[in-house]
Amino acid sequence: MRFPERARAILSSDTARAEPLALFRIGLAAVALLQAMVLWGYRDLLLGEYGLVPWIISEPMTDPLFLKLSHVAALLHPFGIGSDASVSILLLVHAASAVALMLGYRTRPAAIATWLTYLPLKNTGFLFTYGLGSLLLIGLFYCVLMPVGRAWSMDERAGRFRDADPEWVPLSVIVLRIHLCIVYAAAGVSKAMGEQWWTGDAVWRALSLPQFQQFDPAPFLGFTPVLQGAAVASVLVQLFYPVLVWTRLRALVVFFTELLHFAIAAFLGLWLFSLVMIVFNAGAFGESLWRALFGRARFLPRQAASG
Amino acid sequence: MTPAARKLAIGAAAIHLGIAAFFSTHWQVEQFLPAVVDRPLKLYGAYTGAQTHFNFFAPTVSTQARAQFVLTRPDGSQARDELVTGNFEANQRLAMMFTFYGVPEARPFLARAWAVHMLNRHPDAESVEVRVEVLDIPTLAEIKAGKGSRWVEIDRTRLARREIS
Repeated sequence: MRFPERARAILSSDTARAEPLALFRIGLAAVALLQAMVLWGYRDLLLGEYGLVPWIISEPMTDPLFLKLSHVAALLHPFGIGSDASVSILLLVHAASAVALMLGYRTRPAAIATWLTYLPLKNTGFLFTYGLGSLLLIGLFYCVLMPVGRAWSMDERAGRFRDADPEWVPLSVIVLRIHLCIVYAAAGVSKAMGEQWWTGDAVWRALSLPQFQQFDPAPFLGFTPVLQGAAVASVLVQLFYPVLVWTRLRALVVFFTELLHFAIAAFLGLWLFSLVMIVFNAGAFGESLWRALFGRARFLPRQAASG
Repeated sequence: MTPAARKLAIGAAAIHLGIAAFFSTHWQVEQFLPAVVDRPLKLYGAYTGAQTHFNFFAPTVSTQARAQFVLTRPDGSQARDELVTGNFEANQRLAMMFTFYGVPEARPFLARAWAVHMLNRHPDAESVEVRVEVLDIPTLAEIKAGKGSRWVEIDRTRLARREIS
């Protein structure tokens, strides 16, 4: 096989099924919904016009063409709706859209609504946004464009995809794969350039930071090689991921990467962040993982097998 | 999918992923872009997430900042308060906000915003002092030598209620 054909075969292997994209959709929508629930409880503090960091301070720090909460407030003001109520309405619409997206009901409009309502929350609340914010934005944008509702959705049950072009599925999965490779390559290279990641100090520091602390890390001081091993393993998993996922070691590499994210969640409490990364991997390599675990491409017994 | 549509889709995906790759590392490459290119890319990134730097905990795990508030009442008595909630995710967000204090241009605005919030929370206080601290975490080698973590004050700002009335 010539190189272009071989490259195409490797890129597109295990990309025919729509179920991984469905998992991607459901997981992302769940994260958006959970985040919305947190933001709802603290909307006055974190998002209010006169909250902890008023809009008049935060919004000029960003480009005027970014969609912001003040734009939403201005839109609703003629209807007698104040800024606080505007934030509440936006959050409710965002949550409702996320539920529709999760269920796969009118999937594309739901994805657009979830994405559009998320933008002002992120842009005005950028001071309160950590890595989860950017990853969620990337994922929601992909949900707008990709055929994430083709499986495990109310739309599928209603037969809305009978005549849908199946070619969009493998193309979407390939985009997810390449983007993940970019993420891990960049993260791995950046970490590899930090001495802390080779001495184990990075893991110690992360465990010691009060904002992440799940338990007292002091007992780990008696096992510093474990800290160093965990740090180096994190770097190596991320550096080798972009290479090994295109080989026969794909399922193993993705499995260990998912394990890494689970460890981040358990040890640092970053459950939402880890869930986003886990569903990204599931969306990109779910079919390969399923085949490796169960030796077949079918996700449910009643479905026809695919190639 | 028609061949033209396929080429268009692949081309658009390639451009999008190219932008994502360009901004993906911890290097602030946007500093080297001319404004005519930088702003459109920034806008595109704001709507798609393509301008994300995947430098979480990289190349170093930075420290954490916090703010302590000392409120003074007219009778001279004092009370202490801090910005913390009962929710882990909400506290993550507050912690992120405190790290922005590392941006010198943002400091006066943030300190004042926090001070105003605290004075609103404590209507009986006539002034508030904002003490910003960062956590000094020793290396593993320093810990073995007996050094421990400690909060180090880096800045202090005072705001009286009459200044915001």
